[in-house]
Amino acid sequence: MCKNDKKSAHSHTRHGGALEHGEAHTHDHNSWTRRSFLSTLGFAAMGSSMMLGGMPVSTFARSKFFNRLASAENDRVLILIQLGGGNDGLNTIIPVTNDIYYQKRPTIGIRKQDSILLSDDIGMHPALASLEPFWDDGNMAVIHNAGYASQNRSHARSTDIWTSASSSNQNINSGWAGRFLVEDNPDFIANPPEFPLGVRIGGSANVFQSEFGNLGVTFGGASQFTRFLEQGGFYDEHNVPENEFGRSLSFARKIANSSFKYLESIQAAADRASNLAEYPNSGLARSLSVVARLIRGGLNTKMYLVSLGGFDTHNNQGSLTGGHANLLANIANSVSAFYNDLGTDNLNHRALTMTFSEFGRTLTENSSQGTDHGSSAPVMVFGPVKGGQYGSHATLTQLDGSGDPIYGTDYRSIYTSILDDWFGLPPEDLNSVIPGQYDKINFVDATATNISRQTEVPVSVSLDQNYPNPFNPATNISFTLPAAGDVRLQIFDVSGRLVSTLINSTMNAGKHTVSFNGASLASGTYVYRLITPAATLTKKMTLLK
Amino acid sequence: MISSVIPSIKPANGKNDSVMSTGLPPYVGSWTRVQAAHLVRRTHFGIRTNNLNFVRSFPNATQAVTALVNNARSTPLPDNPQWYNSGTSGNILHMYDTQFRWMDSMYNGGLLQRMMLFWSNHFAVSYSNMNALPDKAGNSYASHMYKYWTLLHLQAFGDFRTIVSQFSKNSAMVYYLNNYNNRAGEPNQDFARELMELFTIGPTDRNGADNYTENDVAEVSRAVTGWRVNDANLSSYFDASRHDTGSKTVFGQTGNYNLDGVTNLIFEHRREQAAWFICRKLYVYFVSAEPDTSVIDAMAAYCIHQNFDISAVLINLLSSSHFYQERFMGCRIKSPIELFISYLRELENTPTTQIKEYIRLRMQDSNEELLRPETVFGWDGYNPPYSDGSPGHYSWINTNLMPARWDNLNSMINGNAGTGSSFNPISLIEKISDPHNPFTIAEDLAGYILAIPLSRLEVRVVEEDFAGDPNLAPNLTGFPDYKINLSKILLGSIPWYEWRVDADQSGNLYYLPVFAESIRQYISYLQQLPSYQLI
Repeated sequence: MCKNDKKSAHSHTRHGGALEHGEAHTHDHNSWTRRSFLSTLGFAAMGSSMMLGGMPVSTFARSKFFNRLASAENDRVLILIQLGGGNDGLNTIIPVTNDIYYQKRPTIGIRKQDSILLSDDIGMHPALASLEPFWDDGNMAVIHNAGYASQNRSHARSTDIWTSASSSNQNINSGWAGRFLVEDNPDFIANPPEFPLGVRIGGSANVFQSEFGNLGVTFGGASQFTRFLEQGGFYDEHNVPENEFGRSLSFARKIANSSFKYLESIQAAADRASNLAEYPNSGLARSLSVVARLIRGGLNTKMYLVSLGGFDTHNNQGSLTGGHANLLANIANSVSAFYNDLGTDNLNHRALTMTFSEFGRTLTENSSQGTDHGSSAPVMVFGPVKGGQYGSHATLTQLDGSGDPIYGTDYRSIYTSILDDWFGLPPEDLNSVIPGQYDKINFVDATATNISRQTEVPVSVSLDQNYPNPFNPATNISFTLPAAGDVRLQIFDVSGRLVSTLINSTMNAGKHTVSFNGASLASGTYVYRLITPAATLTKKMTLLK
Repeated sequence: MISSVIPSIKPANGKNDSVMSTGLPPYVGSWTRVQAAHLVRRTHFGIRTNNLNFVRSFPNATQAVTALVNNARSTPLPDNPQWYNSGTSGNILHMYDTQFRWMDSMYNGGLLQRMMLFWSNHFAVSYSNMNALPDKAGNSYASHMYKYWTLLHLQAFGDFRTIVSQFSKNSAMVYYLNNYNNRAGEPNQDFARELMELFTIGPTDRNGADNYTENDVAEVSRAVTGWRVNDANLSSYFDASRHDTGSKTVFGQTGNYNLDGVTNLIFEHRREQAAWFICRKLYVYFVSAEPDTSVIDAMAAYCIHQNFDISAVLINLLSSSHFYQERFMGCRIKSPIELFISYLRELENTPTTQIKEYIRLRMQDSNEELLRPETVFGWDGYNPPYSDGSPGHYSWINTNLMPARWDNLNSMINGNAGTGSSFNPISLIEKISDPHNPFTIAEDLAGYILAIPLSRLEVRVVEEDFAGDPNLAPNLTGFPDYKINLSKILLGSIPWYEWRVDADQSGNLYYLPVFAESIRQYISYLQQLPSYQLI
């Protein structure tokens, strides 16, 4: 509907950002600068490497960009599972020979004989049984006793700390994943990708917060995932008053624009793939099934956040069975289904999955047969890892002022290991993602995949957005075929009337581009459809005279 | 009621009491449709003609606001539903009935419902928590929640200290924050922590200093032991045998405190912090998501001066010159329930059972259901930004929720997805515009349902000419560009000179289907503009 809005379409960054769009660039230049826009939005000031129209100009930014090309092309994915409310780590990974544990937890403690032993003195809650094959096959790592100094026990604040990778006494208003994605895609302001850098299905928005706004596209759940966006538009985010009203208006316009752009790429990935395993009936499982489908469909998104809530077990949390056991079983069964699915076509080697929670729970059960907000807790990692235990379980003799374990591994060591070993972030850039220095832990199997995109990844049919768009009178339409075959490319008007058949023949594998001339047609929206043996894909374009 | 006896109180933040205690200076500028519409949008769930006419019937902001507050305070509690009077219920349908009743109240009401929503976010309780956990009130939770809802009504205005105390002892709250299981010698800190962090003072004061220590939390958790719930009569009660009678030290004060004792202690020893905390939250809810520290300072001093009388603070804020500044008009993003109810109110489309069920389901899809906040914090969208600057009301919309909003409102106006029949626009158009004139309708409708000046609107530029005979081009003299474009969008392929309204034998006006449909499509277009998200 709003693609007819010629004026605002030109001001959109995607058009204005590149120098060859002279008119559009001038428009951006005149009306607003990206920098002033962002700073009035309340985001932190941008680095000096950015200038008018979002063009990176400093050599610093350029060299970074070129250095990063190799790693930006890798196809590794990280999935974060946020356990909201503070998971009781001591009943998840259990010190089964520690008397203190049993003294402090007379009713909720898990006995050694009931646990799944990971080693002589460490057991896993029996509700995690479906993770046993992961453990046995070396596809599960447990990092014991992760936390940070001066544990904060507020849900909100400690979640901020974990998601922003800050210290207890430090406020950072961006997320560690958001900062990594900025480092990993230094050119994204000038050339925003067609796919979202992060995808969030629940969990804290803060994970993907960056100085350029939130980089995660958010879904409420699996059911909303295939929503078709009938019409959106390109609204002018910049030409607004510099005040409270203007900032909100700009934000609403920005969201409307982003809604349009990203949903299309996600829809395309979803259309190309499906789930190849059964998932249990839980929200977490359904979220992970969406992630699996997007990975298989070729979405280039590297980071996903999913979540499971309900871990704030102050009361009657249960022991072998009960509320907490059900939550753990949900994690185990969902993760198991996820990797069964990915394993069908060897995508499991590309997906590293990590759990985290804002804090563990008190060592001592509170006699509401629950536990209160505590301190450190284990982190579990699945997929391409060097299976085993890392760090040591809390001794339960060295306790903090509240009587809870003192952390053994700073949680930022885990982030650091993933950034280095999984994503190949160069050491000199680590500090802009994780402030401070934290020793790596050697749990990631860095050799799991090639750093470059694997050729055996299923390449499927793709249909690109026509260019230019809107157009007058000619535009180019490109598509890619994985294999030779019969192809039809046709143009329809919005009432479904066939306007033109551009291709109706057998074509070779590879990328093809055809030109379409609308000189004889009226202004308006048209639909172009690519029909191949493997898929039928449709996109819209706008002729503006 | 506002106390006339004013104790001597130390001013907050060392500012001059005689200046600050008078509150914010009143708005004394002209009282026109612009200011009146802003007041109605912020104190009701969106605009409605009769509310607009009511506030415009007063000569100035102060009188209009005082009347709104007085009306809200004197609104009687609605009759109890029959199911509530005939025994306790754990039936989910009764929970939904409570949500539906609230939607009706929001549709017909105003400031009272706004404040009830505010408190339901402040003293968050989720019905599903009581339903899901075996030890809680599985067989009576719907009744506990209805009682909680009536408390939102009864305590919407008045002394903040009393409000805190009443909610602390509400049976649904006692369940939700697990205080029913908080016993001497076996304390859990759930309620104690939230009493300070969420209900009264927050973790830190205006300058970032800690308002309490972890030890204070532990001690308060002992002081609030002993509370239990009687499911049969839906009330909490104090069981002395479960109360920790030992001495507790909170904020450096030692005594044998109980729940009332620690509540009093908070308001005595953290008085400035409590006033600042609640005023900041009210400011964000009613004015802007960007808290203005100096204005909140003045509100807090006035709040203390008025003995924490919430209605006094509200009257002062909503009548202030600050509130009516242009930069605040349309600066807030609609919450989900605001979006749905304001849409119905704007269209004067009384919600049917089908529509209420549709709204309930859509809000459930996105975890935004009434009386079911995701966490003890309520919903992020209503809350002031955290100290790290996280997004406040920006969290209401994202790249998924925005398209969902578009789709949902489209379904409602078209009668799709089980919402009933399509919207008949004639009576609304008769009220707010001239049904015969498409140019006037286009401008008036947009001006009515959008909170922003039309000159700011991101209206599509339609390059084609008006439909119809070029020799009969409309006279556009004096029309601003936005009006021309809006008229083209409303008319579409209908020539302007063919626009008509008909009358039946009794003289009642009606639109032929084609005109009714073009108005519906036009409203759909307007609600999909980013500006429509603002209020």
